[in-house]
Amino acid sequence: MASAGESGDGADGKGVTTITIISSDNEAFEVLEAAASMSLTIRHLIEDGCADGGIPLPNVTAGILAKVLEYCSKHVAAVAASSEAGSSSNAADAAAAPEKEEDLASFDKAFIDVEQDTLYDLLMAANYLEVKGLLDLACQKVADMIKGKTPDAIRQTFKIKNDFSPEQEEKIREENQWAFE
Amino acid sequence: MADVQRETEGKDADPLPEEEEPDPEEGGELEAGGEEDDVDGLASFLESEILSGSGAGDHLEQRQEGEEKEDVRMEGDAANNKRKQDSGSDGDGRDGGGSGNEGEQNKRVRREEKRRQAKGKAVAPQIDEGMFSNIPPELFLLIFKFLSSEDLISCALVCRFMNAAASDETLWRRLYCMRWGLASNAKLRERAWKNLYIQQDREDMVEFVRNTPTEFKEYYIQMQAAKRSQAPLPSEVNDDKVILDKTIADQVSSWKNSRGLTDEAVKGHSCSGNTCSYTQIGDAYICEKTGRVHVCDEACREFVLDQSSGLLLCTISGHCFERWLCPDDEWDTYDTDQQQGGVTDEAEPFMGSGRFARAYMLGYNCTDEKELEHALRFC
Repeated sequence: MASAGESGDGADGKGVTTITIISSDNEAFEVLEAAASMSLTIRHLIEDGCADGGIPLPNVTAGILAKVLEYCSKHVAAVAASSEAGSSSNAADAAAAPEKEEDLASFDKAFIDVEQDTLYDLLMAANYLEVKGLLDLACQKVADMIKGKTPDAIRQTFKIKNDFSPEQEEKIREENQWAFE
Repeated sequence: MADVQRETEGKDADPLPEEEEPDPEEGGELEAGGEEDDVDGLASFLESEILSGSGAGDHLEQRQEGEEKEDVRMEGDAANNKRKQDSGSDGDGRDGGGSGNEGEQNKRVRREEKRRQAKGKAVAPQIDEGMFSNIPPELFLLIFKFLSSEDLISCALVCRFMNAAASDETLWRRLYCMRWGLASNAKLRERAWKNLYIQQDREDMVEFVRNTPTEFKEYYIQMQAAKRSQAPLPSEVNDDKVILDKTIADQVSSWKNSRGLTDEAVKGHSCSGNTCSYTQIGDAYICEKTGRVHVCDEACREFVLDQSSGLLLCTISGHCFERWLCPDDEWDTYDTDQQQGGVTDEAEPFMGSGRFARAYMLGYNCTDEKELEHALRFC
């Protein structure tokens, strides 16, 4: 990775651009522009010409930013690879495409298998940075944590307080009785 | 429990609200212990430590957040007990004899609860503590859209905020259309999609049970229940085509075919008015790159807040909306009529949102007798 970072010629001669992103605790991350652009927020900043000297993200800490950028880098590489495979006439390449998709899926699965706190941070970061794929992944994970649980179990899992009064709760339970028949 | 109490005598003098039997001995110890607030605080902290099964970490966190949380927690426990014992709103029924300090304890709990209830009415139902406390409502929608109707109902029972979020129109509309397709007179319906769904499910169940031979009844009931636990597919979650009515859906399909776009969802595409261009067919906006469909009507959720005008602007269609009715607004007017009216029921304020108003509106929009009859069945 070239330390200069801006508009450098990559080893493959394709002229890859890298962008510097700075976390709230002042740690700098260098990533491909294509990867960083998976975040709509960052993409807009780049397009608006604010990227010189690095893009500061006051809402995202280094740990989470690292994870988000890891996700973006992996996915942007996968998209590049699949478009290459698509245009390639090599049968082996084409056959490898579904495998690569599986790889990506298992990467995603392992990636999102984290502690609740981290999951929450990833969710908020993906929302703020507008990384759609990651946002969907995190939301799906949270939804999976909700699936099949009783209200009490949901409260326990996410440490939510029951703020219904007894009358309200009774009323709601009655209204929704059909679901439990 | 009582043993622990005696061991730490002089420190945590407060009796546990959970204790069923009155304990006059504890009362005696109470006098000896301090009456200072911090003693009480420490007492409640130890008490909640003992009572709950969860880790100490949670409690430390709660303690740091101040005494109110502990009171709230205690009051929560107290509320549970009240329900168990079927006494009204008073805590006095719980402990029998009770010394002076016990009475004070109860009073404090009751005061806290009243304050909390008053707060709840005046202020928006604050989002829960814990993991979800900072998640904005829009994000909840993104999470909930992956859930089946059964799970949405469970969520609605968790707390007030989730109740409002889980009753969102777009969620239930999607679920309804997945299961039964778009109702032909959906434009005329005045009921919330959630209620429509529930009603339709009920009707289906009744019909099934009536029409199936006895030996298959159990099987069909299970099948019906399974439908409720079916969650939306990823493709259905991001694309609105499932809620299109037949004529528009056909037009959309043929448009897509003419462009070489399939019905399959394109992965990794972030559709937004800023990055894509759209073709409009009726209410549907089709992304020209991927064929993804966005239906823009009163239940559109793709809006952003436009700073200059203060309106909500859908980036895809350019439609402007008034401020979206937040869950807190809905809850403040919690009564059945309003609930049935749903979020968007603001068209004819002078008519109100009662049954007559709904029937009137329904009838007003019908073109002939037949449609009127059909429409009024919803009332």
